[in-house]
Amino acid sequence: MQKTDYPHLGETLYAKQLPNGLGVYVLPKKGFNKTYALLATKYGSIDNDFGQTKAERQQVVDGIAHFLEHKLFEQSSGHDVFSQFSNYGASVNAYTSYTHTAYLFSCTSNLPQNLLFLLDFVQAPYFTNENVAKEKGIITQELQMYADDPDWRLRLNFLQALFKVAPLRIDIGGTPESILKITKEALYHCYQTFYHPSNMALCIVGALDPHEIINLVAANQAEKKFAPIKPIYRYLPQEPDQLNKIYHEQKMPVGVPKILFGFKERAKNLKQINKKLQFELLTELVLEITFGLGSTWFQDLYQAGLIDNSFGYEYSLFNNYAFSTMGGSSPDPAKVIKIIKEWLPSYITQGLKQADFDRIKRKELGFWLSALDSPEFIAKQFLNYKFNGDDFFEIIPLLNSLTLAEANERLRQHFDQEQLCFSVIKPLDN
Amino acid sequence: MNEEFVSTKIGDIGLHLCSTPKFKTNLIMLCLAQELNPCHVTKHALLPMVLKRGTKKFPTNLLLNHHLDELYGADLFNYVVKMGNAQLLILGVEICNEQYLPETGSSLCNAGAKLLSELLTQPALEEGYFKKTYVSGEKKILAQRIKSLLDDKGQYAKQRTIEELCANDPYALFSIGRAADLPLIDEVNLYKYYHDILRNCPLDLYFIGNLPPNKAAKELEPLLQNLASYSLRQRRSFATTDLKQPAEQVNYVNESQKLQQAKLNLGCTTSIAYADPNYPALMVYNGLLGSFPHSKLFQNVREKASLAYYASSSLESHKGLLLIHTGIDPKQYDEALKIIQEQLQLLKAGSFTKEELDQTKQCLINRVQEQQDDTKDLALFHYAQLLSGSQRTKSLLLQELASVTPADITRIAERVQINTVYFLS
Repeated sequence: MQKTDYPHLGETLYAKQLPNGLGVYVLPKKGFNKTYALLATKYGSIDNDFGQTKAERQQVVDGIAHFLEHKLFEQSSGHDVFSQFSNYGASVNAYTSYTHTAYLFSCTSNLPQNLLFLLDFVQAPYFTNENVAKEKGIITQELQMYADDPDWRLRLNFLQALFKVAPLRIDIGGTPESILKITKEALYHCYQTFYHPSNMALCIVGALDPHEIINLVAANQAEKKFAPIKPIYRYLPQEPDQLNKIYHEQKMPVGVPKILFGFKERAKNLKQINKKLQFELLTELVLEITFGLGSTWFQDLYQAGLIDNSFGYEYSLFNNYAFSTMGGSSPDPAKVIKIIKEWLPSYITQGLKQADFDRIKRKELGFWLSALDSPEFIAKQFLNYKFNGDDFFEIIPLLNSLTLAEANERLRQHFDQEQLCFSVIKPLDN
Repeated sequence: MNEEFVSTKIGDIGLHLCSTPKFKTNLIMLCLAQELNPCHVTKHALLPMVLKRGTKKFPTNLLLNHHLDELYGADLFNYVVKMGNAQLLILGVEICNEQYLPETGSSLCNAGAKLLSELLTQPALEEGYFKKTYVSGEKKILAQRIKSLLDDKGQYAKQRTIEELCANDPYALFSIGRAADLPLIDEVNLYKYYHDILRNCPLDLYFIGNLPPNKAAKELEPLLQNLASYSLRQRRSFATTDLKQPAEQVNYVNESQKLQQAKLNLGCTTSIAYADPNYPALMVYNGLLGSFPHSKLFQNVREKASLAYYASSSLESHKGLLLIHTGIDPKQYDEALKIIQEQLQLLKAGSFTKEELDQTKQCLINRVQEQQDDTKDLALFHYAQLLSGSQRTKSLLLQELASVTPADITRIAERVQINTVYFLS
């Protein structure tokens, strides 16, 4: 077991790689009542073309990773997973993202029972023709609920305008048509490929004894048989730099129009990444300086009544793709677009100022420090970064090391007029 | 770990201090309670937005935000929320504890308290009133927020159900007010309103963080004295609890919009409010019915009948209401309504297992315990007790939850009556 102290943060991380390949990461939080556990596999909706040998490459239907997440809640005993966690006062949940699938619970008592149960239900799939058929109704309702959500439409439309071939343009849940094609055999195939412990990690944060917890997990895993570790080959299509469309508009029953805009990262920028975490932090810093609450851009538009507090930004970095998104509600998206286009060239020429850079660095330091009060946030971000080969606890020192020159270079690289894309939702005509 | 508050009065302002080493941030939060009333519901919601535009010292939002950034990204938050008969205004700052930061020079906590004090008592003014442009700007933003309610269909359906359920009652008001009031609000009447509430409404200040109570009180002293100086006479007090009475007959409401998924909501009266001795049993009843994935609604409407993606229930604690929310296929109205009514019947008939009851209690106890790990939840839990006059501390609540019996549940079930069936498709 590896123990790492972070004295400045008053935190200690315990880690162990088990013989079957499962990475276990444990962070005790003194004084907390709650423990949050997250078991995740490095498998998400973009992994739709893969194989375990070069010869057996296979494409799977859209939405299967998310469908699989739902179906792992079935057990051969017929017992309900939710109900079993409820017995121990825990609340369980799961989610599927573009790059991973996670199963989680939080509890304030009976941690060992809950933890073993989490491992046991995720590691014992039980798919039948009947239970697969039944799930199709539930997921169709879920997809329809999202279809009515303007923020979700706004984002999906944006991604479909941004990308020509990247699987990011496919909704994580698939479509009502695609999920009809899912079979129990296809689910087992994905499960066997991606749910091997060597492709998974477990992070537990909260009220706990790290030795007890790691020993418990190790003993549970030692009792189970797994196939030998095999490589996973994932095939991601090469995305051209060019946008699919520069503008997408849809009408929906909304009260106020919405706008989302952002830049698609060029392939050459992604190729020169040395350390992903540093690249991401640097880009986020640039975005905060430019579009954060303390930016003149935000304040000018806010004061003109063109945007409101729903405005936010985000940077999304994947292995072969990356993009930024900025947006929120706006009574006049066309005007916002006009302003961005006119303002951008001079903003890039001017570059960032030292005072703004220092101020935002402080703000970001405070943000990451405050985040340590949330076990959920720590566990989710920790595994997110772990799957990318990065270390969550490196964030604060890395932030401290960033320089204005680097930020200005990143600004000029990323804010590329040709890579700028817009998505708009407008109210229905009356 | 049990977080305890030490409460005192400074003038007629309540001060509640909780000293705990577990957080990396300190919370300073001011709660102001106003009567929920159509006359000022919109002003009350608009006011904190205007205050956040700037202070005498930091007269623009840009300067104010730069100051917050310099304070290591201190989070200045404000919102309004309904609690029974009250419309609460919450304004606070969450700020890093400097012990985890490189040299900060001065106390961040002190800086946070100072900022809150300036924000409340030294707003940016022009000719003796709020700045005209700030008021008009925030009026537009608030109008948009009210309109945006349409965008979240689940939220919209919930608000509509409450409106139908509480027709002719202030509780029908949306917590952030009404668009129609906005044209009548200006910098003068809003400023007068601001002075009125600062003088007359009950005020409570919370501190949670890693400072001993006497030191925390010292850091907050200037803020408190500043606020106390506004009190002219005894601050107004009012009961937050206001029970909605059961209806003679069920009100069926149908509304249509262009949607993929329909929302079927039920509004029920329970005749039990937060401070009532029966409230813990009502929490367990609601848990059995629809708070958790093991609950009857989720299990029967979603898992067994595969009719919905979500099916749950919730309490409006200070109003004695229980709401049921489902998202369904529009064609399944009859079937879904039938299953929901069956679940209510089953609880009345005592048709639930010991396992279901135990699970529900465990989950509720877990939820109460988890609230202790979040500074804002901790403060709001204490404040809800204070306002409702409930003597139920956290440990008492845990005990009472654990001792709820099946007979308690059937007794509660008798009191739950459907008042409104709302269908949006």
